[in-house]
Parts: sequence; C-alpha cells; structure tokens
Amino acid sequence: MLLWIDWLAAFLHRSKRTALLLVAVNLLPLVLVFAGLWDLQRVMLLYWLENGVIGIYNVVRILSARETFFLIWLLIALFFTVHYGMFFLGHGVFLMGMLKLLVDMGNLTSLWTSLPSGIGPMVLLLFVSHGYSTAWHYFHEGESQTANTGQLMMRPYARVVILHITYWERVLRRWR
Amino acid sequence: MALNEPRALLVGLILLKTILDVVLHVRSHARQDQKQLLQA
Repeated sequence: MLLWIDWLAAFLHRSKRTALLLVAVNLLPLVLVFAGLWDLQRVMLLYWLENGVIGIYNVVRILSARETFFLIWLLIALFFTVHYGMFFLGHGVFLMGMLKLLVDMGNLTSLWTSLPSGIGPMVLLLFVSHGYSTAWHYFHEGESQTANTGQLMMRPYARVVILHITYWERVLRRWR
Repeated sequence: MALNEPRALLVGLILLKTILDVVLHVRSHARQDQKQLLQA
C-alpha cells in the first residue's frame, strides 16, 4: 500500500502537467454548465466525440508499439479501427436519435456543421490534450517500448461506460 | 432541442467522468511503469 502511494506521488510529480490538463479539460464543461451555457445534449455529444479522438490516438499508439511481432500490429490496428469505428458510429446513431438531432452520419461535413455551438472548440481542446498526453507518456517517457498491443486495443472501451450510464438512465426514465 | 435535465444530474455525470478518466489514466501508466521496472 505504501509502495503504491509512493509510486502515485512520484507519478503525479513527474506527470503533473498531463494530469492537470486532463482534469482541467474535463472540468471545463462543468463551468459551462454552471454558467448556463451547456446542457446534457452538448455534454453527451462532447463525450461521444472524445471517444473518436481517443480512438484516433489509440491507432497511433498501436502502430508505434515496439513489442509486437512484425506486421501483427498492422492487423491489430486494422481490426481495432473497424471494430471501434463501428462501435463509435453505433453510439453516434443512438445518441442522435436520443437527442433528436438530424444528421447525415455518412457526411462528416454535415455532422460537423450540425453540432451545437461550442462543441467544435472543446473537441479541438480535447484533441490537443490527448495528443500532448500521448506525446509525453507514450513517446517521451518510452511507454511505446513496452506497450502491449492487445492491452492497447482494449484500452478505449472502458471509457464508454459514461455514455452507457446516461443512455440507461434515460431509457429507464422513459420506461417508468 | 435542448434537454431540460436537472443540473445535479449533469454535474454528477461530469464529475463521474472526470474521476473515471483520472483512474484510467493512472492505472494505465502504473501498468507501463511496472513493465519498464521489470525490464530494467
């Protein structure tokens, strides 16, 4: 337990910039909610689009992993792109239906222009934040040397739990 | 188009997501640190 606390303290000390950025970017929507500028629709859309941003960086991580045998990483990256891409699009369709947003999911320009105001800059901010974290931890600190592509592939799926909680809360509310 | 959700639900959702992100972030890097230590 003490060792773990020591490790956490050392980790937070050396990674305070990425940790602070992560918390700050996550809490920015909270400020916008308190200011009365953001509602559930915007928050849900942001979390969905963030899953897309994380998926893109995860492909970069898989392709840069050093531990995996020749070309296997390419197949894993391809499999992840198709599987996670379908997962992401499925979530998007469900979300658009729930929020009653009429968007042509096959047309990225239509999707981007249909987004409520304020989402675009926040997505760009998330893109920078996750990019900085990937550059710092994965490349600068050398995590790419020991990363396991199997674990990398599963990594983004744990995050979708937040969207699932909100979907079920709404489904149950309607059902009652 | 806007959904009239109670603010408490939204605040809870954002805080839960922030905590989850921090936990996943720390857990993921702990695993990598452990691997690097074992290799060293």
